[in-house]
Amino acid sequence: MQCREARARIKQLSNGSLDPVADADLKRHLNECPDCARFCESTVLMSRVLESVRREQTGDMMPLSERRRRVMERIRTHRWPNSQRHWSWTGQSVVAAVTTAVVLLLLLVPFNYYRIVSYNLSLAGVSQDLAENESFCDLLYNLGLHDANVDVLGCDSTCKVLVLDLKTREEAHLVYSAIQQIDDDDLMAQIVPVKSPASSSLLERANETLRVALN
Amino acid sequence: MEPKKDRFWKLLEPEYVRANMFCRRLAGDATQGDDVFEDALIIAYRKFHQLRDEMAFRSWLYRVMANTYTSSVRSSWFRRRVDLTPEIEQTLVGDDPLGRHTAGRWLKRAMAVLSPQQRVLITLHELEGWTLTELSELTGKPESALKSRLFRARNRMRKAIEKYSVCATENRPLSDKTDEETECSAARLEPE
Repeated sequence: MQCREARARIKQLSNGSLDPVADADLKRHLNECPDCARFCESTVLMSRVLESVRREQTGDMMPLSERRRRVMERIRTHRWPNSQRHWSWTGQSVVAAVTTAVVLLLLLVPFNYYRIVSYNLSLAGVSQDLAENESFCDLLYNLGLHDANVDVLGCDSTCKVLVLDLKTREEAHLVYSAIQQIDDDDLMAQIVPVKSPASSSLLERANETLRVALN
Repeated sequence: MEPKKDRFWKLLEPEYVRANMFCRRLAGDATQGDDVFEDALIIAYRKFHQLRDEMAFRSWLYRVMANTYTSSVRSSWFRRRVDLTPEIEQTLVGDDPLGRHTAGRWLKRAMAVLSPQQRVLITLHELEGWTLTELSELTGKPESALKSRLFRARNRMRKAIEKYSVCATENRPLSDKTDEETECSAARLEPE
C-alpha cells in the first residue's frame, strides 16, 4: 500500500467509514511506516477532539428575553461607532478632495503668477493742469520711466490719477516726490503692488498653463 | 402587521441557542463569545431593515456574526494570537485531549494557528455541521474554493494537534510559539 492511499484511508477511518478488510491492510502499512502512523494518530485525535467539542452541552446561556433587554438597553444608551466612523470617513473624504483640488490648482498655476510684477501709484489731489495736459507724460519721460503709463480716473476740483506699470517702489516714490514739488496742495498717494497681469483671471491662467502642458 | 423590529426577535428565537453557541466556539471562550454575540445582535438589529428576504435570515445572521468576530479580532492586532497564561499551559500538558473540559482547550490551541476566516469556516463546517452549499451561500465563494480552504485549515490544525500531543506525551511545557518551528515539534514534524 502506498502512503497516499493509506492517508486517504486514514481520513475515512476518522470519519468512521472504513471497511474491515481495508482496515487490516492499513494496520499492516502503519506498522511499517512511522510517518503514516504519526499522521494517523494526529488525524484521529483531531477528529475525536472535534467530536468531543461538538457534543459539549450549551452550558449557562442568557435567556432570549434577558438578552433582548440588554441589547435594547445598549442601543438606547450607546453612541454608535459605525455612524461616527461614517461621518469621520465623510469628513476625511471632503478634506482629501479639497486638498487634492488645491494641490492641482497650485501645480497648474505658474509660480510667477504670485510674484509682484509691477506697482501702480494712485494719486489724488493732482491739479487739472498737470493731469489733463501731456505734461504728466513728459514728467514721467524726463524721470526716465519710459514704460510707465498714466490713466486719469476723474476730475472734480482736483484729479485722481493712476500711474501704471512702475517697476519698483523707488520709481513710485520718485514720481510722488516729483509731483509734490510741482503741485503740493493736498496730494495723497498710495502704492499698490500688482501681483498678476490684470488682463487674465486665475482660471484663464490655469487653462493656458494646462493647454501649454498638453501641447 | 407585526412591527419589523419585533419580527427580528421572532426570527432569532429558533436560532438563538445555536447562534450563541457558534459565537462561543468561534471565540473559544464563553465570555468572549457572548460579547461577540451581543455585538453582532446589535449590528443585526440595527441593519435588519436591509434584509429583503426573511428566508435568508439564518445565513444573514451568521454572516453578521462572522464579520463581527473577524473585525473584533482584526481591530486589535495585539489580540490576534490567543494568549494562554502559563498556568493554563501547565494544566494543558499531560491532559487527556478527550477529557470533559480539556477538548475545548485543545481545540482552542489548535485553532489559534488559523486565520479568523478559517476559524469561521472550521467552526461552521466541523462543529455546527454546515454543508458546503450552505457555506457557499454564506460566503459567496464557490464550493471548490471552500473545500480547499477547509483542507488547508484542517491540515494546519492537525499539525498543531500533533505538536501538542507530542509535547503532552513527553510532558514538556508548550512553547509560546504556535507555528511548526517550535523546539518541541521540530524533531517530530516533517514538511508535507
